[in-house]
Amino acid sequence: MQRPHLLALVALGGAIGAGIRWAVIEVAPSTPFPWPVLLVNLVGCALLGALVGHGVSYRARLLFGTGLCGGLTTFSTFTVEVARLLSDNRAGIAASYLVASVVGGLVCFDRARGLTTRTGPDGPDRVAT
Amino acid sequence: MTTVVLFALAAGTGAAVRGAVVHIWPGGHRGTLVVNVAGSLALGLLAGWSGPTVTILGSGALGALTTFSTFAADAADAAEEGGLVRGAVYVGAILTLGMAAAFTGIAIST
Repeated sequence: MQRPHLLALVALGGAIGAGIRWAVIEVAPSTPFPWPVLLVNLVGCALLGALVGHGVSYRARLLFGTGLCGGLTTFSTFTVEVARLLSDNRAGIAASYLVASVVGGLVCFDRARGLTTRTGPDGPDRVAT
Repeated sequence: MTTVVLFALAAGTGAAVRGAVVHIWPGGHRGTLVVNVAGSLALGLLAGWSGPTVTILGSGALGALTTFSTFAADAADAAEEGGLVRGAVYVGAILTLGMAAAFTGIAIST
């Protein structure tokens, strides 16, 4: 992984994923509930689940998993958004956003992985990206 | 246009740093935890800022440095390897540390 060309794959995927996230947040209407960030996080979890379930090459995992899914999704915006909602006395929205993100993210990852996992001798490579 | 180029560079750098940390750290999961908590602290520090700087550094660099998808994958791994309790402990730990880091960053910056 220390090899620069492998990190370049992660950087390329990350830039594309983050660009899509930026575009989604820009075009989405501003609401108290942070729908755009929830949407990209859930889509990214499902996409990563599908990659892990289907099983792809190491390089594809770096480009699309660590890079694209990692760049599309964000943990820092999620935590800071929850903190801001709590500071603004919007505990209800903060709690529902937190639960929807965590439970939804896990369910999206797990369901997508289950749906794309091939059974048999050519079965899944379950190493997470 | 400049913002778009700088955003792409910042996001690419953030993702590459995460890739290096996650794949060099033994086990990987701890690396994801470290970048997610550090990124939450740093984004909290940007809370008082606005304009293209926040877009490039906050949404670009820190957004790509941190990841929600690998967090979900790691939590699923932890639950499968160590049982539901271990999975819940992992989720609880990263959420607690991440939220504490975000609050700390916001408190310092504002």
